[in-house]
Amino acid sequence: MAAPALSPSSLSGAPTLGRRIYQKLSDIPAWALWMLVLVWTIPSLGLFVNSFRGRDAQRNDAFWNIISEQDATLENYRSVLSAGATNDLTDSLITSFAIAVPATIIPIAFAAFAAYAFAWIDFKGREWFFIATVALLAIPLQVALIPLLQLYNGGAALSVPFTDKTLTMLPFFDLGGSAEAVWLTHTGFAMPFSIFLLHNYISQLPREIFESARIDGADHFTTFWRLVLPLSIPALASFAIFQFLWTWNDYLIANTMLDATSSLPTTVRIANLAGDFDNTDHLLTAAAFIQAFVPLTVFFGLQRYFVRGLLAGSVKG
Amino acid sequence: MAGGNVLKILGIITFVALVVLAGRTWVKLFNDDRSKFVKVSAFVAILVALFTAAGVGFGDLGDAFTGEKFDRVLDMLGTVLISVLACIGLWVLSNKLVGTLRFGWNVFVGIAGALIGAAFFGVLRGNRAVFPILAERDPIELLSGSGLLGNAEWPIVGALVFGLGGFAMRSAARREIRLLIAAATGLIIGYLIAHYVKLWHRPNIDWVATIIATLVGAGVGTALRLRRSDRIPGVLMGAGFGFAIGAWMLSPWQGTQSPWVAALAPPLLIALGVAWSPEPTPRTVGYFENRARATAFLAPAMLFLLISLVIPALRTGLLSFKDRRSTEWVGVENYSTLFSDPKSFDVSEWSNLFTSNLFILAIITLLAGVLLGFLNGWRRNGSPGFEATPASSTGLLIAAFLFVSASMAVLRGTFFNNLWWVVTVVSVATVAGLLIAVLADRATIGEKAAKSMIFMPMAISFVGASIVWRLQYQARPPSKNQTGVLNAVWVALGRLAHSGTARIVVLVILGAIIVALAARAIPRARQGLPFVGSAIGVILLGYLFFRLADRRIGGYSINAAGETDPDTVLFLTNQPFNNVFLMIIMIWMQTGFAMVILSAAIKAVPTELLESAKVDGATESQSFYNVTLPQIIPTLGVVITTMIVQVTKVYDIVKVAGQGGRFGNNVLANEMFEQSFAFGNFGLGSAIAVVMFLTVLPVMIYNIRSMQKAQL
Repeated sequence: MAAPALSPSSLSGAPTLGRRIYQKLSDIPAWALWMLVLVWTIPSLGLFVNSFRGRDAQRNDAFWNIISEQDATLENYRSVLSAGATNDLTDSLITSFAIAVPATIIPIAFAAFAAYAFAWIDFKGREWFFIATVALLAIPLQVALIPLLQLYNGGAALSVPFTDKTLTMLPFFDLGGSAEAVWLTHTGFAMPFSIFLLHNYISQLPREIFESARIDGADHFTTFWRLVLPLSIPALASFAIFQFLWTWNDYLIANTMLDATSSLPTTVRIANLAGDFDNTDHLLTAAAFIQAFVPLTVFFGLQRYFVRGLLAGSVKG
Repeated sequence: MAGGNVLKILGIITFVALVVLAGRTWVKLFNDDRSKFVKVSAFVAILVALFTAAGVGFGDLGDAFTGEKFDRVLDMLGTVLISVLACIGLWVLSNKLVGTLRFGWNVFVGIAGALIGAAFFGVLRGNRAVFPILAERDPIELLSGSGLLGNAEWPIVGALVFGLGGFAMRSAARREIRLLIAAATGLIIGYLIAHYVKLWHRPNIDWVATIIATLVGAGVGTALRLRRSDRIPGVLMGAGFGFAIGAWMLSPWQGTQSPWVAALAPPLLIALGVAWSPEPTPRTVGYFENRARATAFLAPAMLFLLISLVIPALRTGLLSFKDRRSTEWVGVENYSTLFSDPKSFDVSEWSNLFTSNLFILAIITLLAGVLLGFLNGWRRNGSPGFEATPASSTGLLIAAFLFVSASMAVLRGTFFNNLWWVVTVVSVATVAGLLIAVLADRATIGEKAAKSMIFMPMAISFVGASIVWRLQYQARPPSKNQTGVLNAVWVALGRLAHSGTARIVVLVILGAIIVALAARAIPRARQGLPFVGSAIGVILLGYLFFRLADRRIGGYSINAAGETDPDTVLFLTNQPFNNVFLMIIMIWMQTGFAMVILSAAIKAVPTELLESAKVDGATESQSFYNVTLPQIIPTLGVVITTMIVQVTKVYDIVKVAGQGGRFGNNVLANEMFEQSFAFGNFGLGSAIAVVMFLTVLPVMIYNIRSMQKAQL
């Protein structure tokens, strides 16, 4: 990264240190931006700092007093991570993974198949089919919750008109209150967005590679498996990050599909903890931080792909 | 238990596979950038190591790797592997099936027939053949049961009969031989059905219904093959399906008649129909292969969409016209209950609108905007007339926003709350996102870092964000120290207003800033340059200045004894503005989204345009309003529609931070959840869901329109 020999600054003579500092300081947009960043971060910072303060400290004073108190403690974390303790979160963390991992992998696979078909297999009514699929993006999940819960708790039966018979459309698999019910729901709900996102990417791949593959005698299956899948890894990663964050952070679906006897994911556990104002209120800070730790790691580690996915998913047309 | 151990072994395999897969993907992701790979990997490794060390250091997280918890982890991984393998495996199998076409049509028909036969007889057995794998996750269960091979006997026999019959039939070149083989296969299948069917499932054939159904079926079959030259296969197959429907669905099941006719006729007719059609030409096979391929690629996604979104949505529509237990039709009663409930619509306080501060502020801003427009028109044309400037447009927009807020603050109820949410969150988050994107674009230091800090709340769950903000909004009795940041600041401001020298110092500083801002704004206004930022600054700071000078600001009040007492704000319970404080949480999270997308759009504005504007002597704000803004309008549309959809279904925040909407801050999604799952009123719950759907319908139509445009 050598600087070009004839940059404008080297021609006009290097600015003095004082001038450079003055320029930096007089950068009003930067100042305004960082003021906003400060405002934006204080809430999270407050939570994070408070998670290292004991119960009494949290209850008696605002978070910045940690400096004067000088008794930071890891006790909150110990309480929520001790196996067997009443507020143990480790079980919930496992459940969260049990939901988020299949709910990430399976939609990616299915959506990639469908996106490939929409982009590169010719069939009748393709455009309309695709538009109809993506139009479902706007549907609020709430319209599907009641029937889905009934499905998981009793299967689906269709009573045939004009007869006294019912047809079992989907058998009862006893999925009520299980992690499977949650990730199956996530898989279905993720389809419109994931197909849209992956289609945007897969349809942009150069046409020549498909033509040369066809000449070499590859069918669609081989083309997809050998060519499209490896080439689409960035798009798949983008969607995987999205879907993982969204399923890890989901509260509504888990809260609907699971009941008190199920093992609950972290979001539901924390929301329940927040609901009862008793002696455990001070543990919320540590619990919320642990819950956010996993998505934050993913976010900061793979931010580039996250942003790329966001842009691909929203810049239409 | 054997099954459990199988699961554990599978769990270990999955773990290793996941680690390898994650590692390979990770390396691939940073293919192009070695130093980035090292940096990011190190960052993640340090975080994970810290976390693990902290956990193991407590001596308790270590339990996750031993004992009961370890078993749970392995079980979970095993389940994950089975699910993933089943899903992907089915897809690979269906593709392999289409691939067998290259070995000949007879091979394909044979294998497809075997699969159909296995599925058909599996279902006929009441799913007991497939159930053990899916429900108990124990393949060994399949072999227990009464048959020769346990429950597996059914699908195996079915696969053999269908598969061999199909293969043999399609291997014969002459139609007569094909028909002969088909007849034999059909009769065997019919015999098996008659043999296996349970006593109480035997139909007493209603001949009138059956004959009508058969004729209708034959008609439909013919109609489907109208374009082909040979319609007999359609007639035969249609008749077969029609007969099956008539004999098994339209006739009563009593178990007195022998099942032979009902069992033999349909498979015989269908098999003959299949056998009648001639050997397909290569062109037909190619056409079929393409269609089959498309189906195989689309089927998994479409099945999931149908089962978990489309059909449930339609069913919700039906349920909304039934009673709470979904037993009786009640017409539009649920909707009328919803719309007549004062908790949903409450307009009783509408007259307070005209005396509210927000309304007066809205009027003032409106007048200011109009006045600015007129002044501009006068300056430009020399005669009175309205001509919009950035300043006047901004004023009018702010006035509109204030007016909506003022109305929403007096119109109470779930619906108006939701509307308020959508208007406030979408407009504020978009404007804030745009502002930050512009600032970041111009800032010389730390653009990326600042952006990712603003963006970060997007990675946190709504529940987590609610916990974060509950902490900020906490209010304690005035005599005690405040734990919530906002109240701490509020009380401190009150202390400042009642202090001596500190107040004077702050007033002097504020005054200086106001004068500086005014000194910048006034000449710009005279030259017709934009001065909105400075003007807003002067107004806000001026307001602060006068309140501080008047000692009427901050959490302080004077008690009966004439002494001053700290006073706190109950952010989450004071109606109606507790709604706004919940919206702030959503704004905090969504601004990052708007910023990232708008920032990319701003960077995509061609630099030539901006440079030519600069050459023409435009100031930065002029080039923003006249060059950048028109260019990013389509992106703004995307941001706004996406956010409308997001905000309409807001639930978690109201539930966790808003304490379930008990303080006049309920929203539709929360009400839907409460009605359906807490009170068990599926009728009303469905009606609310349908109303939510109707509110986003315009957005959906807009999306479809813009997609159609993009396709053209």
